[in-house]
Amino acid sequence: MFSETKQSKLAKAGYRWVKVSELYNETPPLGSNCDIKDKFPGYEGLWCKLIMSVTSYAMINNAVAVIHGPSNCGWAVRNFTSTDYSLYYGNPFLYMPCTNIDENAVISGGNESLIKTLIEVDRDYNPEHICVFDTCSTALIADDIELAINTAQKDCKAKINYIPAAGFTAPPLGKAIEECSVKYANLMETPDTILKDSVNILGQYKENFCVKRMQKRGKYPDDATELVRYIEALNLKLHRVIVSGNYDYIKTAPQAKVNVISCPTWGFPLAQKMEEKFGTPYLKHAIPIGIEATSKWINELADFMNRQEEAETLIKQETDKLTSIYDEVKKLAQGKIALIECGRNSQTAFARPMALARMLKEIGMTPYLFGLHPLELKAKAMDLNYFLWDEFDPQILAGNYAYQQPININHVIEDLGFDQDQYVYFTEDVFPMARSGMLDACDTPRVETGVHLRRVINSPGRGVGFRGAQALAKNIIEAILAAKRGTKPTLYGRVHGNFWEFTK
Amino acid sequence: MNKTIRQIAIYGKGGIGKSTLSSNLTASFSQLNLHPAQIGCDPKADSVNTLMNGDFISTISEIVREYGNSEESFYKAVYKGFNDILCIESGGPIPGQGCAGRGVLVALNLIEQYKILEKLNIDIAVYDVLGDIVCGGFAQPIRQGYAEEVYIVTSGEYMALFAANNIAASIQLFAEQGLKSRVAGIISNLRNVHQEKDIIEEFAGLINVPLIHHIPRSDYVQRSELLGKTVIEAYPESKQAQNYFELANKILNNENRIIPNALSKHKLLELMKKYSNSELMI
Repeated sequence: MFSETKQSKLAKAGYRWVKVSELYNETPPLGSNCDIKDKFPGYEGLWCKLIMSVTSYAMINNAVAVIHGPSNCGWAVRNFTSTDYSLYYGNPFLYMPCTNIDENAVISGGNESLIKTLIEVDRDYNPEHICVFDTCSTALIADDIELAINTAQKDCKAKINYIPAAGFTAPPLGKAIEECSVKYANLMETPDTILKDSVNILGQYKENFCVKRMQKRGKYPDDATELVRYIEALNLKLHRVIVSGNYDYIKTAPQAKVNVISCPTWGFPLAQKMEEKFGTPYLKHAIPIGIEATSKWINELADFMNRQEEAETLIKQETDKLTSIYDEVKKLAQGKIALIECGRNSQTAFARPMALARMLKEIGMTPYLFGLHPLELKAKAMDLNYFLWDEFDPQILAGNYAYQQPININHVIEDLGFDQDQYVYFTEDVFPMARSGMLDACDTPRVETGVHLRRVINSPGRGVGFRGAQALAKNIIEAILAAKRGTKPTLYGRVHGNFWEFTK
Repeated sequence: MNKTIRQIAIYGKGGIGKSTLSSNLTASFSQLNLHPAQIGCDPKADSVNTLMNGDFISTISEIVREYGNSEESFYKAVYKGFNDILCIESGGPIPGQGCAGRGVLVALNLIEQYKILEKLNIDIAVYDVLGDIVCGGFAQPIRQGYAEEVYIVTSGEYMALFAANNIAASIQLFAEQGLKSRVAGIISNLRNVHQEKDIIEEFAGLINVPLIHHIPRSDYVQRSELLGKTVIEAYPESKQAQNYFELANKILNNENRIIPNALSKHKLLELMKKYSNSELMI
């Protein structure tokens, strides 16, 4: 670290390294506007609740999202969902008509437009399910959405539900996701029977059909594929992956014996709601990246379902396969500093960087997280509680995080003050085109953890499970070796390493 | 040279009689060789119906919604009432829906955009504004500078004075923020409360605003409204009509533009308590 006489740029700006739990405790509560304005001037939230809500619904088949608001809200969501989630991740396109609320509708109330739109959508698109998402303007004038839905439902074949999505109601992303994900319980029905040996995966975007299609394309399947592999190896049956499928698929989710969690941010709120509403129990381990976390995830499920023997066999088989690559990665990475950026531009990612940090600790690295806005951490209390329960509380960069200004990676390196060759930089962003921090990749290995840039075909997108650990280990080895070569970087071969493919 | 159109806004507690007073005032102006306009700034859209033979006219909100926003369609919301008085209603949503204040703002912007008052050669415009100004939309006539001359209507009842004091406080605040709206006076619309004139006069003195006129309670008001007319039209020779003429003349000659000193709630209550000790009227 820096001596007392010479302060780093970050330290001068008031940044410092603390434990994640300390940052959480020192950050003002989300409702305390005065404290928030004092500490984080200009903070307005980094995502829109509407975008996250509609994006989650985009994973549902044969459904139409009706955006009740002005056309530009509709346009923004359409643009994000269709480019990022459809073109990039390969999800089906979602129809997203908009009620096109203008000034006149704001004056007179938008219910009439909403009823008219719902009836037209039911007639023209003929979907199984319609979901209404309101926006700031219609929420500000307090349009009675439920009343409009009840009125339109009489003339519609499709089942209509409502997910409140006005941006101003939940500026931090974690809060927006928490409020949105629990609404999927409203689409579910109380089960007549509980299916023996059946398991739901919560907090996962895509359904099997999507994963299958992607496998066929030989690209990057999602985490569900890997988690389903374990569920089936324990002689259990996957019941539902939520949020995905069609309305009937979601409706019957409470028939499962237990819920397991993939992404804690999306999964835990819904799991708690399902337990409260339908009595479906849920397991506590989530986002299993790395051998230890994956083993815990499998063992918890095995204990609950009484499949200990199968679990033991499975874990042994899979860890044996990882021995050589883990030895290799440990040899190269042990003792190094892992700089983990929590979303380059969004500054909101928490669960995945934490899970990644947990795995990096497992291979002997010291993780340092940065680029997470403290209020976004505050909004992800459920995620944090899980990691603290799992006794994981790494160092994170605390500071005021100027609005939408990414932290300069060189400043982070300067502040920590270790030798240049001690760092490995882990970066990703939900936007595939987002630029990572500028630094010389000749000296500092850079691991792209975003899905397609990881260049490990058939490995699970977010890196969960044994295959995910293997792919990440491969990426780290490639990056460290590439930096050691000391030649000029090129975008794909030099920086990101060669393509590497799992045998199916 | 363009003439200056005098624009006045009538504010006061809901139900205090602003629309009745506004209609009789514009009717009086029209008899005094002026060409007045009355603009109802209330989603109920009932400001001008005594100038329109009891008919309710199409509002700007309705017309813009149905025909879209154009100067040609806008004129569908512009009516000629008694004695060629220009009658306009901003309109707005049905109760419990939408944003009525926004409706008022849009209507006023359109009147300005299409230069309706200038093109129709209006001398004096009266904005009859809904109830209190707790909603930003209803404060638009004074906030946007459409009407810099504000009259506050009140009776001697506590809640009417409470609302009047709130309006005074808003205008005081707007003045501190650099807006030009000022209170030109208080108009008392009497309800026959005990010592009512004394209460209102003392209140006016305390907030440093002149009391323009006392309008007495009269059956002619109710009778003329049931005929769909103003008192000026239905009973022009009545004492009540003379009161309205007198008020109109006082307003035309009134040059007061005052930043009021609104009372604290405590002070207002003290004033009311002082008069509550007098004999009960049973």
